[in-house]
Amino acid sequence: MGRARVLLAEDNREMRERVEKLLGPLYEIVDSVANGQEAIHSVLNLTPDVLVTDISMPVLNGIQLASHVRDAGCPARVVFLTIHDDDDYVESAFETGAFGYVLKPRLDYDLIPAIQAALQGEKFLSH
Amino acid sequence: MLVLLTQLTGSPPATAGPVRGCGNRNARTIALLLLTSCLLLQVMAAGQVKEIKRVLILNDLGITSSPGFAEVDQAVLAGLEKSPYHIELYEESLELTLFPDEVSQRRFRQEFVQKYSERKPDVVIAAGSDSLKFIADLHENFMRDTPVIFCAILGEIPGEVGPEMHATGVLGKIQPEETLKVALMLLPRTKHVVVTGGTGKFDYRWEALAKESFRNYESKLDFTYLTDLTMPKLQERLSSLPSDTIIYHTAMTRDAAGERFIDSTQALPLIASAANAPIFVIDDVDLRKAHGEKVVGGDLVNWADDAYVAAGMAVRVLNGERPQDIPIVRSNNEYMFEWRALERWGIREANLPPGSIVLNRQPGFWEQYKQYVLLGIFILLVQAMAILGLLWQRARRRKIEGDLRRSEEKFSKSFRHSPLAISISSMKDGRFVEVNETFEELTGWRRDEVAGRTRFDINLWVDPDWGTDFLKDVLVLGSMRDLESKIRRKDGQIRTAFGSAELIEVEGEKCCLSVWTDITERKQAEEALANVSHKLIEAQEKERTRIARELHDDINQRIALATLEIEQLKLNTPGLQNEFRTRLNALGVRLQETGMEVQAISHRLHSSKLEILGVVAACKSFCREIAEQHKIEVQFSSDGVPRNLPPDVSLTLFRVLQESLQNAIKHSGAEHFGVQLRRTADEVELTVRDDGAGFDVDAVMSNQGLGLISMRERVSLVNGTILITSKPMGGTEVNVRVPAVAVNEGSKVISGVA
Repeated sequence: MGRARVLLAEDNREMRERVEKLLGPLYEIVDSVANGQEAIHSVLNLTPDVLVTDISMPVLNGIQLASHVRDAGCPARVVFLTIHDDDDYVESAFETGAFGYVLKPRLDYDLIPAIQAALQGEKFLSH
Repeated sequence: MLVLLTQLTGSPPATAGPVRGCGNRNARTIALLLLTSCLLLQVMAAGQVKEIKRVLILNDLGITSSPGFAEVDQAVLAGLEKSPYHIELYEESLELTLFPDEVSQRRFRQEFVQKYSERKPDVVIAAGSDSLKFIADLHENFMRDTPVIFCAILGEIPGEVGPEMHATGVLGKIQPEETLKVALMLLPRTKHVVVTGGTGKFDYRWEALAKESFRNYESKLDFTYLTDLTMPKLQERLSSLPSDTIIYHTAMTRDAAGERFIDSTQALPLIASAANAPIFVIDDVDLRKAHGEKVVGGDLVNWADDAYVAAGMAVRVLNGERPQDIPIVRSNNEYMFEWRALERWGIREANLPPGSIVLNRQPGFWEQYKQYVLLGIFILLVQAMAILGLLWQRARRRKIEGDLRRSEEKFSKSFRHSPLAISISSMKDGRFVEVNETFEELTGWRRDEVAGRTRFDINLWVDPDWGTDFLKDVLVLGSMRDLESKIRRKDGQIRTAFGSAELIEVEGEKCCLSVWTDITERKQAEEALANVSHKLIEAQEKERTRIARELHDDINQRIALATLEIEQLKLNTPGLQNEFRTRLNALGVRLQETGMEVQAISHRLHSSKLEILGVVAACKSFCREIAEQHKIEVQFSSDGVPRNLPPDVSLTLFRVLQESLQNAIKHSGAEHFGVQLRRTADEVELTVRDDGAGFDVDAVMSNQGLGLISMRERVSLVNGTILITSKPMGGTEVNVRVPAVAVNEGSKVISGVA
């Protein structure tokens, strides 16, 4: 079994590069996109195992993206990477069927455990 | 009934004028007897059974030779009519002027006694002093018990009348001196008094009375007695009397030539015709019968009045009273004057003694024509009133016409030059009846072009159906207000008009009075203003969104990355001193706090939740945050509101919630607030209520409270409605309803935080 395939949706280029740098050694980054609309396209075409996505993005936000992914029957498990440290977001995020909710300042510590948890079908939430 | 029985002897002649003999006496007597018989027969036939009383009148003079005694007889007859008896009246006359001689008188006496010895009267009325003497002479032997009533007595009762006579009556009051006093008063320049009279037995008595009466004046005035002249001589003397002379006439039944006269109707007129001085007389008969303008009058005896009183006494006697029980009375003289004589002699009526009787007064113009004058004045007044009425009516009509004209002019001017476009059209066929200048300017159609045409003919309504409904509504409702309609000008330009319409009646025909004003520019300005307002709100939101995005996408990401760098630094720096590690930790915490602050600022500027999580989550979150911030209770509830409402609708609801809740917290003083967001059939309804102090909505709105205005503007931008209900101490409720389906579908998204 090869490396898990990860799709990254992040509109901030610097953050996106940092995430790629963090995940690159462990996962196959199938694609890195800058907005939700592109992410849908990639998710449907590339069928990643995990979709790591920001919430606040232009065109289509992360919550909407996750809902679309869910509604489309795509098996990709969603891990949110966001700076929104807010219960409403957390609640909405998990309502979409997401597996992880990682705060960006906790990126280095929480993202990989969150992806791993997602791959194992477990939920992860940054503290 | 009164029956006059005139006997054979002593009856006066029937002819007037100087009487020289006694003729046709038998014939007269027979005629009178026949008349008497007829009257008696009539009485008997009438079956009126009354006790018969005989009354005998004895006169000094006959009724034909003395108008005075004729009047006396008449008065006696009138007085006796009051008697309840059937009176047989016998009339006898001594005829002293015609038969003054002793032989005639003795013969009369004999006949008298003979005649009445068998038929004694119940009462004798003696008219005249000689008659009374005659009766007194007979009394002892012939009429001892016969009551005697006397009248027309000159002066005092004759000495022959003894107390044994049962006599009473009226004493004549002959007062020549009273007449003289009045004459001197009326004609104060009088120096001469001429007394006229005759030579008859009767005349001497009167002259003597006058002479006696004037005795006191003889020293003051010059008295001349012309009593023994022939009539021509007397006339001659009287025609050339000196000025300042008055004539006092006594009686003249015979002149010096032996010619006999009836004094009042023959002698006095001849005297008066000749005299050149005013004449004063003794009795009223002289004054009345003289018929002249020279006989003035005086203090006059009225024999007829005396006789009437005497007749009354006779009736009393017949009724059983005794003559001696009836007091003798004096006649009531009266001042009596002839108006023509007053005029003739220049005597002012105002100078007459009080109570004077003026005979034959020629009525003055006023008295003569009073009725005509009054009638004329009345007619004139009526005419004047009628004319005044007509003038008043005309003036009133003119005023009304003037008012009407002015009113019409005003109305016409108002109508013509009104700044409002006015039109009158028939409700029957919709044709224009009248339009004004502003209408012409508004529509571009001239008055003569629209006359007789309808609004539809000139294609006035942009929406003809609206026009049809408008006319129907006016007809049904009677009036329409605050109408707004788009109209098409003649040149095709579309204008917006605002106005009202009223159903009126013009000459019995129902018409529509429409008043419009062109609000095109205003509408454009309003739209421009609304647009500006819209753009301002848009710009504000855009700017806030942009800043929020900058903060979130850039600053926050940088902070997050910086935080990560610090973490990396800690991980990748072996042997890091504790002091540095602690400082790095602190730096990381500070960065995270900064990030949260920036996040909060970003959230306040533009709620990313609104777009990402939807209006319900955003509103709920806001309520929670503000409750925590202000330590209050905000109950939030939602029902069926979709997450993906059009962004402008969501933003509007969110902003209204923010504004109203912040206002409520700031001003109401309340601690409990309720927010409800729910979906109705086709709207989303937001209700924010509090139980606070409330406020006067109108006052706040008129004060242009920016918060309220902002809310209103925002709601109007999404075609929603906002209703603010509040009253002092009654809490406040803000209710916003916006269409659930995006009204600005396809419009750009106001906010778009990534």
